Amino acid sequence: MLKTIKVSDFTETPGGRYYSDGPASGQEYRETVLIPAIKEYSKIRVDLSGVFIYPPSFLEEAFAGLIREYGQDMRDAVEIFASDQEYDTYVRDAMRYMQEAVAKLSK
Amino acid sequence: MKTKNQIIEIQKRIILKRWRRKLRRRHKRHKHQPSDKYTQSKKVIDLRMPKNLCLESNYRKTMDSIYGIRKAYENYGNDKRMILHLEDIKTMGVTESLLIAAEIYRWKYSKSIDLKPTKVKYWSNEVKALFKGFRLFELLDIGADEIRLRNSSGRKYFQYKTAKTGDCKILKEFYQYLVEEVGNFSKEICQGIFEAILNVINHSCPESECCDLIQKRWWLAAVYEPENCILKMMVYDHGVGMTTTLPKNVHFAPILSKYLDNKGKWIEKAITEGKSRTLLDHRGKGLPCIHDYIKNSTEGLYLKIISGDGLLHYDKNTDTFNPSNNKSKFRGTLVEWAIRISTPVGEKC
Repeated sequence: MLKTIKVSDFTETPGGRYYSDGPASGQEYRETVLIPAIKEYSKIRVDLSGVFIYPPSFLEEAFAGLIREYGQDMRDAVEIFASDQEYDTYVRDAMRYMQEAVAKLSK
Repeated sequence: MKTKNQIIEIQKRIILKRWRRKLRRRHKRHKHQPSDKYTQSKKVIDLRMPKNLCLESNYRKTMDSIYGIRKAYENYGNDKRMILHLEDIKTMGVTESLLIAAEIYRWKYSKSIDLKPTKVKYWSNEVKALFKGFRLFELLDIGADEIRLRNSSGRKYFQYKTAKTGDCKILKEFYQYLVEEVGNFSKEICQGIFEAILNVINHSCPESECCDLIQKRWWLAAVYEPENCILKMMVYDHGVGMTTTLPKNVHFAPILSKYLDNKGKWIEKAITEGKSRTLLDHRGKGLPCIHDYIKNSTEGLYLKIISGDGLLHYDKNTDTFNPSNNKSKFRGTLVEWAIRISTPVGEKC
């Protein structure tokens, strides 16, 4: 089953990489939103629209962190998109981070 | 005829009376001590300031006086007050006022004893404008009405923000406030600022070298010059500095060893190679982000980084880096950049 989730439902101001960096971190988003959603629905679509900005650390840890922590299969379990074109660059960034993480794992 | 016991009792009372009187006198003496404790030279650190507080034209004296506050903080306990002679300053830059603010902040929130400025009415107009604009007088417990400006330069100062964690809400509010006041500009720069803030939290103060928690604190400030539509922003921290942390990266150290005589080149390499002290190469994106923004956007003008022993200036017009050594060690990291607002609030430039 495919489930669509919005990052803006989690926070309007995504934060840093780890819990220790401050509120709404990439690690927190991965562990409290992405992983439970993947466990429940097996495949998810993540809409990046509607937040202030995405710090690269947040995107990297939330999405590439999935690959690092749970393996390459996660690449197919997550589809990233933006309903607002303004956020297209962030979609590209997030996908690139995931690809880089896959490439590193395969080395 | 009084008995022996009665006589002893009377003597006791007399002694007790004398003792109480003595106590009262001692108490009175304490009560009437001069209230102005600054007159007791042993309990006061007098810190004189240079006439020209400017990193570019008077680096050594500026740093000596700013770090005078830090040295006093580190070397003395809570038994000494400090008097800052800000009335000595005739000219002062925006960046320098942020450095002073951070030192005063460190003092105010770590020491239980006051740090006092003197002769507020004799401060130069420039110093008054900076203190009023950035609301630095609040740090010194001076009332806003004590600072009377003769005339205003028209510059807009934005009260500095400071925190110990990476809370993007603070940055969002700061950005929205700037846009309202000066005009629209790309929020892309905020990515870089936030990453720079994360760098402060994660790298500016390694566990092994961390002396106090204030080293992980960051300060952010901005000033707008309406006459040429330039918005300057600064991020500052009290960490150990990039020239201390960068060589600890085993992958990065061989690159740096080629430039031992120019520490500014180390900072340049950190930007162009996009790496930092951390061994994980997916971290340390702050400065490359800000640099990319300045370089690629139409708004960008320059980027300047002072950290530890190195100084780096990037000029957008010529697309060149100008790295050099600092005349003396800069304890912390200061990142300053400027952008031109293309659609300013009010009259166009």
